[in-house]
Amino acid sequence: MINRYFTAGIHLSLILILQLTLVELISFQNFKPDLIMIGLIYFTLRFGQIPGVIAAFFVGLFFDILSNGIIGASSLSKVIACFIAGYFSDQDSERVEISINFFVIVFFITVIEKIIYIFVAVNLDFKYLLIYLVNFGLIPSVVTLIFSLLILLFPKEKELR
Amino acid sequence: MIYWIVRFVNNYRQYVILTILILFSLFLLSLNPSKQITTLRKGSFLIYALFNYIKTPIDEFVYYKKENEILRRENSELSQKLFELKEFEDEKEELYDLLEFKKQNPINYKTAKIILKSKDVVENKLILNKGLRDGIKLNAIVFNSKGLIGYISDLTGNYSVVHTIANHNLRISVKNERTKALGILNWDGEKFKVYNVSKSADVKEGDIFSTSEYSSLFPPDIPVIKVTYASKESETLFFDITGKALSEMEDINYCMIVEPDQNTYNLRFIRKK
Repeated sequence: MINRYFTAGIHLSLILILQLTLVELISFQNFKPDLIMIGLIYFTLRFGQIPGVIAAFFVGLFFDILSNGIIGASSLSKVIACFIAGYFSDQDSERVEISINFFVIVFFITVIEKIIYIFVAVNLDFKYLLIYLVNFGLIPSVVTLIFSLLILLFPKEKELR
Repeated sequence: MIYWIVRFVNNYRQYVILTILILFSLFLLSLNPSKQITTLRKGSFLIYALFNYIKTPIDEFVYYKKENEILRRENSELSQKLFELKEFEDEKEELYDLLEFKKQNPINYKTAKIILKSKDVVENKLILNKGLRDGIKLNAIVFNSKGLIGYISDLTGNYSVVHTIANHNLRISVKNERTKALGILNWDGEKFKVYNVSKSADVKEGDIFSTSEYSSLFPPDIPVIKVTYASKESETLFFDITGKALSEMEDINYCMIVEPDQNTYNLRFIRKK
């Protein structure tokens, strides 16, 4: 059991590094996929709500530190997002079915995470709230959703533990 | 009490963990301005700087590519404007020369604007914006402040056609203004050649050839070409002379028209070095 968490932790660390390096290189303005959220949602759906929120806290914290962001902002938004994602986790199975439901969850949970992040980290001018929500919430979520489709390229066995 | 707390935590552990993590996150958020976090951020800034160091050349490549495109477009527009300005400048100078010519030569002539230039290997033509209704006559002489352009070869009510001297089928009797050496001017499709000038005559590069009294089509003393090459090295008895038209077709926009029988002696043309 611990070994599985450890492996998943390594995977999340790799995703974190990818997010900080490769994604920064390929991103353009707001068109930046959030690979961390895809990984965390997958992790939460697979291992459940509590491991999900704990992982989200630490990954978010490291992301804030390494990306020179507002420390605590990503961890807070990711914890809440993964907590909500945990309700879609199947308690009896550690199998994550990559179906349309998975991508819908990825999209909506990412939107929620981005909205929380905007409210926490951005000094909001409510006059431009809609612009913020679209630019920093909706667009990155759509890009994340598109990137999450890459999971389909992985072999089916990877879905099983 | 302890039992009750343990039971509560056990039953609602997900909410308890969530609350603890949220509170901890909020605590970290509140620490952001603190000295410790600033130090931590400075440390993380190194990593961020490293990522940016890798990313910047790629960003710059994309940015400069875009900027180059914009600059190229601007450059093209500016070149176009510069070309137009140069054209206006040339036209202004040409009009100024025409005015100067008029001041110096009080003869009766008509001015016209060239509306079309037709270039060909055999013959070059111009279309003028004046015709029969403006009093233009067939075979009238067309020139500008610098020299001969051609003659009116065809007419309509409002327009006229000029056969320029750059015509392979046209032979004009010309004379050297300096030495009065006579010759026959012809356009070979590329440049002007003066034939039948004896090697005993005196011809130098830079000499001006103008129409002679023997020309049946043009009145005398209208400058035609400037000698650019004169050599006695040919195997014939004659000079090998090449020249350049004083009124180059590319440079003219306006012209003057006089009747062929009008006296054009002692006209003072504008000479520029």
